[in-house]
Amino acid sequence: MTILGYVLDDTVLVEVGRGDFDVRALMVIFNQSDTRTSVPAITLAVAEASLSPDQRRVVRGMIDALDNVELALVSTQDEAARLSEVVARMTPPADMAAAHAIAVSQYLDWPILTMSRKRWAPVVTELPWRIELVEIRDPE
Amino acid sequence: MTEPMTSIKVPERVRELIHDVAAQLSKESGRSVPMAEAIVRMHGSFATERHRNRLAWEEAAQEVKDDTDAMARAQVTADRLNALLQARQAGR
Repeated sequence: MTILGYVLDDTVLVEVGRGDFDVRALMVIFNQSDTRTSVPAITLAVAEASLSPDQRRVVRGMIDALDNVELALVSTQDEAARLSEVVARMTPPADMAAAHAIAVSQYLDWPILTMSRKRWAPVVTELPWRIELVEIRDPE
Repeated sequence: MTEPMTSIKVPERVRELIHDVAAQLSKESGRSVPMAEAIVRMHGSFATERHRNRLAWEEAAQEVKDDTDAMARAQVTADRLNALLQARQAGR
């Protein structure tokens, strides 16, 4: 069976931390429905940088507590190479939160879940690949 | 300022527990007892930190579970997002 899921971007992680009820509820329901989600570690680090210590606790606790959420690390040469492939095509300074989300998305073949397509506009225009983005809020 | 670790009073029972676990770890791993004790203490602090994080999430999750409107809205969103994944898969 093919495993289906989403890669969470920094905007989603920030909203989980800041207490957006709808996003937190979505994470609860994803867990109940076993919709897999991946949290790229560098994306997480960037998101956490804009959160308070208490808000970070909520995000870390979610990753630890929910079985359907997995942290994607950069701990092997292959993982570093995949990330490097994306970073190399970005205009410096590279958007590392986006770069790691893209690297994980390409590897898992999962779309990136985001709060805002606008956040991705500069990245999408400079990369040669199609980046599959899905906005949480219904565009209609 | 952070309180120095040495000024924190560790209850005797905890001290004995750390010592017992460290002795066992030392025996099994061949590391010195002081090194084993340092490892046990470090893991203890990680475990506490992890527990606090989980509690923070569980409290936050309970709050949203109690909000039936938020859960209903999220269910609609989850259905839409799951349908997107299924459609994407079917299209391959």
